[in-house]
Amino acid sequence: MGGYKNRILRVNLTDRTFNEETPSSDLIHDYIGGRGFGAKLLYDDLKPGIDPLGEKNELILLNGPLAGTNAQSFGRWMAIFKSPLTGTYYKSCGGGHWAAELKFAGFDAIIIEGMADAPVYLWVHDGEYQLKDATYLWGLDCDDTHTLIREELRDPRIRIVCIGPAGEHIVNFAGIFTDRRSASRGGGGAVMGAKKLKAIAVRGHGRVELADQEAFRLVVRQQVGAFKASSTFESFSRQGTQAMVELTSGTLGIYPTKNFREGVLPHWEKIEGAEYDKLRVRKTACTACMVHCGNITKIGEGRFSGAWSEGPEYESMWAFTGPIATADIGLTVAADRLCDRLGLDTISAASVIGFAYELYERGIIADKETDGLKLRYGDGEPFLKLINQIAYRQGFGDILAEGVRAAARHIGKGAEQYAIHVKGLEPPGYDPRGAKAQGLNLLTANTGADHCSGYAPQELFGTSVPRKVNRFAIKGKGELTKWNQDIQTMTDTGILCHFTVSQRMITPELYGRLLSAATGIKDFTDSTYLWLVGERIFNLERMFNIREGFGRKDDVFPRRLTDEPLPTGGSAGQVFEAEILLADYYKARGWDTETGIPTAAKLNELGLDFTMK
Amino acid sequence: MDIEVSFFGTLRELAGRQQVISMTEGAQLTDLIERLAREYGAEFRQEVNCIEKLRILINGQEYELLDNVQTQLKDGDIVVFLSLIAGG
Repeated sequence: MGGYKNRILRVNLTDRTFNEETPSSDLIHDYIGGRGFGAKLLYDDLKPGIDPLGEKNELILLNGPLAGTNAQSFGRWMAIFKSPLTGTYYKSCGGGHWAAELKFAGFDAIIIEGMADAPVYLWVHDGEYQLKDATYLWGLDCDDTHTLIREELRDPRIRIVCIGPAGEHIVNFAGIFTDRRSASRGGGGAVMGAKKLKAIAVRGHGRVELADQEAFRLVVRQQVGAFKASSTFESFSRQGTQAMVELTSGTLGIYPTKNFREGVLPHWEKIEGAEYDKLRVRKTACTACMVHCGNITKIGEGRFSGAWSEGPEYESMWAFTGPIATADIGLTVAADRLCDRLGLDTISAASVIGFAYELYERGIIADKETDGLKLRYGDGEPFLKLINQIAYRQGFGDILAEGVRAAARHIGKGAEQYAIHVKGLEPPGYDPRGAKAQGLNLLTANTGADHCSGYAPQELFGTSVPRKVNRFAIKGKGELTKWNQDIQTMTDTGILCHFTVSQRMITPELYGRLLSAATGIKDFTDSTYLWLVGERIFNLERMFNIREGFGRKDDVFPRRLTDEPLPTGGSAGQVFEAEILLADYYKARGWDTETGIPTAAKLNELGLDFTMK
Repeated sequence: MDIEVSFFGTLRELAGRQQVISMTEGAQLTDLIERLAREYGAEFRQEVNCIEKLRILINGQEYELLDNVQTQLKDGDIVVFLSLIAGG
């Protein structure tokens, strides 16, 4: 069978043992790979109620069956685990070059179990593997960790995923980083840190076998043609996600500002795409991706002169501006780079700081709690200090390192009503009130308020597949959200870049033909089957959460989003009509509308009857 | 009546960031587009004709969901012309 290496490496850090497993033909057929493999393996391996930071949690890292081929935009990897931030199932996706290198090294996935008694890193190379001492790496940032591992192993082409100080200090939203890209959301870095696993280095020279080489070559040619013909290919290649601010703040009015109190950032023109165009010094790309949406941005003058970063992507552009109401590109670039080095998720880090700014303004916290930092809107000065304090769990940062939900509980005094999250995950840079399907996904994603679950390009970008929609309309948004979540889940089996999916640069039919030509599995050419697999995986993840005690009670937005209308801008007057939208969604999903649990009929239809035992 | 018009992306290089345009009562979106195309020349017209690469919002709503280019404009309307962008 082509595409796969048919080898999964299981590493137990407690007793430092290794086992190899072969993915069963049922696993391959029913779950395809990537997120599908990860969801099934995690569901099977974990008992409900385990401590996400304990010995019994697993960290599963995967590539997809098309990684390492010349099919476009499949160079992504996924980290799957039970999240310390949310307590739910979590999947976090990263780019760069690690996924393909893992394939060249001979593996489809690595499962990490147990906890080491001293810092280690895993070295996987051409089918072989060993744990190595990482004591000397402990305390280093992500950049230096990359450098020293490559020096130690005397190969600059080694690819690495690692944690920084934030992961080591078990910050609940620490991410996993590779060459300035990351799977940063949900706290995978904290899981890694708790296991005392500093990094996984991979290197290989193996080829990826293909079931039908000639057919594959032809389908890839079609894919390249489809990408080039896409209406957004040219602009997205040039700017990446950096042209979004004029849309979300300047036009749609959904740029969360001051902890979701407003939807328009004052002076947003200072950070719009044209301003970033002036600072772009280089383009970057993941493995085998003609889109090359990545940007190296460098500040040329002012206080942050010389600061540079890969990115920032839209979410980080928002994170370092909206929550504290500044429009400072220099601060944004410096903060983005700082988070990459320390190993922090930018969205959660900035959101929890923005939350603290609101508490400070309201007098719920004061200088005593902030160690003298004056958290005033428009002043980014304390921001960089707090990022450092969070990563090392120093002072007030130790509380913020827990994430918005837990920090609010700790602070008390009414702070909880200002904690903006779903299931503990802080939302990204879109106000749900002005884009109902985008919001409904944030409300119902299996990973909390996660835009990488069922992004709604119809509302954000005006795309017309499956149809044009009114972003304020309620009717039909349950079905649309299901559609967006299922196509995302389906293509996460690949693991195909989300941007190409949200732009509809590739159809499920074309995706299926790529999968089938690579693997030789005929069913993958049937797009109806692919939709079924997407729905199956999404429901399995939901059942993981149900098993953990989650349900309708947790599909909840804070009252600010449901009761307080946006005051100004392109979505002025809008609230999020959660009750109606949620009922519509459950119905579209075939879930019980009282409990939010998939019905027995739905589970049977999807081949998930084993989750009812 | 006065219509507030904003441009993003390629069109901004041709027509500037923002302006207020006076139109006669009863004018439709198509009249506004024609007026702008006449004012900003062949390149602008070419961009606007490539409608699948363009997004037009009237008071925050997609024009296709209103009455398409026949949408009736009224005093104070905000019309935004965007080049298609992507992100996430």
